[in-house]
Amino acid sequence: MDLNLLFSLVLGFTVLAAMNIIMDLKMLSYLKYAVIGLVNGLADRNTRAYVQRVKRNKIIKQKESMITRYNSLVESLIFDFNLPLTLEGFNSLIGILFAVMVLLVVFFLKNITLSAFVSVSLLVGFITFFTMQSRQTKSAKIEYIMDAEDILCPLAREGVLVAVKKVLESGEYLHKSIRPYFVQFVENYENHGYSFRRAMEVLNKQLGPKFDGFAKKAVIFEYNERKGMADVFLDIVDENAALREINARKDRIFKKMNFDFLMKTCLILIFVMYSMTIKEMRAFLLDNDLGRFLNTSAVVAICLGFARCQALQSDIGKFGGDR
Amino acid sequence: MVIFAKLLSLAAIIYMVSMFVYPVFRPMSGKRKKRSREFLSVSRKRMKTEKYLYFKDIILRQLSNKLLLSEIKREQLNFIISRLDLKITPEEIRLSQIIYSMVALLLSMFVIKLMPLLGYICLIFVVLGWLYPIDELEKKVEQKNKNILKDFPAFYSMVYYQYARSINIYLADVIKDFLPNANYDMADELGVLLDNIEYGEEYALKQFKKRVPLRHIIKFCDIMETRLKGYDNTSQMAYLKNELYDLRVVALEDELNHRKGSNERTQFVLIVVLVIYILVYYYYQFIGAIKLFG
Repeated sequence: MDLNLLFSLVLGFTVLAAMNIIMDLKMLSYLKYAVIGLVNGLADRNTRAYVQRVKRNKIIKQKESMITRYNSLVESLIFDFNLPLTLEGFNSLIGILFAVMVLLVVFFLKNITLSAFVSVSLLVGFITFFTMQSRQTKSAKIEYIMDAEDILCPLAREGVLVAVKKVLESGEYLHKSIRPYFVQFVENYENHGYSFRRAMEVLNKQLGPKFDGFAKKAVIFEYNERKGMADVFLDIVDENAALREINARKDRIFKKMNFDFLMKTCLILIFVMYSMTIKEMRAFLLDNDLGRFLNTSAVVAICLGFARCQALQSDIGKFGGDR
Repeated sequence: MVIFAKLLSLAAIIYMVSMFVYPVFRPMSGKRKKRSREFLSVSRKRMKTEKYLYFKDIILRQLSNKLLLSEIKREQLNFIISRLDLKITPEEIRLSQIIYSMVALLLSMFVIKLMPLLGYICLIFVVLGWLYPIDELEKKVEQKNKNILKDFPAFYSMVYYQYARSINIYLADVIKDFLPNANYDMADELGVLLDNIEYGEEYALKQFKKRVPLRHIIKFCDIMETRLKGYDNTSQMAYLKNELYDLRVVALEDELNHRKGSNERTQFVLIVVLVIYILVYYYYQFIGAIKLFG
């Protein structure tokens, strides 16, 4: 940095500070109020948008699109990690992060368009990483739910509630991570005056989409039972058997997919690092426009490839096509 | 930078005008204006579509004998249309085929004038334009069948478990119990089945078989018809159930394989990136070698 520039900057700051003190301008507190006002405005806007969205979702059933898919992804992320955010809050956080990242990446790439691309794909990579983490906990939970269903379904002959109570009596059948939900279901129905349908809806919401089939069947069974109908639950056991059969194979294939992806990424990184040791090549990669474009496209390809690879590993076996 | 500043000042001026000057003589509130505009555009659109439909009707009526549409073909198209529940006629499909082909022909004529070889290649589009409208509909039917087959094992096991307990069960009850669990296409088909059941279960099953001619569904209908005649064929039902279980596993396996293939295709992009880096590397090695000797 130029010495003159440094000197004038320091001088300017000193004058500003001196004026602030002598004339009692209270610049710092104004600055603080401005920041607080900005944050409050953002929070207000987010709350309003959240209320609007919830209202709208109650009235209109939205079509499947990129945006709804992103929304459901983010909402499941927030739910899984217990983040103290709404969808809108998450979006504005992402926006701020994006701005900061563009500012940082511009230092390296010296080109705003390319750095925007890089930051977008890095953000996609981050979000994918977090969904990957949440998926691992989710698959364990699905396993527990499947266990619970396998025990509950044959017992459901005398009513779902009786079956749940029977299962709750002994401690081993339900895993401790989903046990509280079932306890709450019984409490809701018996002590808090919920209808069976409502209590089941609450349980279904807590346990997630894997439990949808059981919940729907339980509600039908409870409200119009016919002779021979109790066995409809046995279908869920069959479905779970098919799922278990495929799960063993799935894990192996997905592990190999991840391994392949990691290998290829490592190869690219090692090769780039090695080629940086050659002087002309380093100059080409860091200072030439074409080289920068190449680097950008490599980062974009890696991040989006990572996202695609993880998206392909999402839960298999959604029976019944697209809903 | 100057342009940016100019744009900013323009935006500021527009903002000031809209803030201070515009409200003084604004005749109508913004919301009302928006609503009336929407109403106008909707009614204009409706008029247009009505006019379009009117002319189309006239044209189709005059052309209906000249559209190269044999009776058998018309029946086939009618079957597809009723299956998809569309609001069009076979003549319209044929007309769209002809229009697509004509457009493709004109386009390729134009290209032949400019570049003969490319023009002759463009003639492929004439055939494709002829095939496209029907092909698209058939794809939709196929997708629908696939969706139905996906939901069918769950539906069948519901039927099986109830019929295994007692023979005196009304099929419509079972279907009504299954409907909340069904996906869109399956619910569609089952709704038609429910409507038909009012004319008798056997008639409904026969219609169902005719509408969705898939192997497992035909078998299901046959078994149910035998049951209606009073035979107790639980063992046959159990056999079909096992077959459908296999179908379920196969469907899952297919999806797994599909994902595997798609992953390999995605990761191919990474290999391309690596190859580009290697090419650049060799290019610089080559330049360095030439410099060394030169």
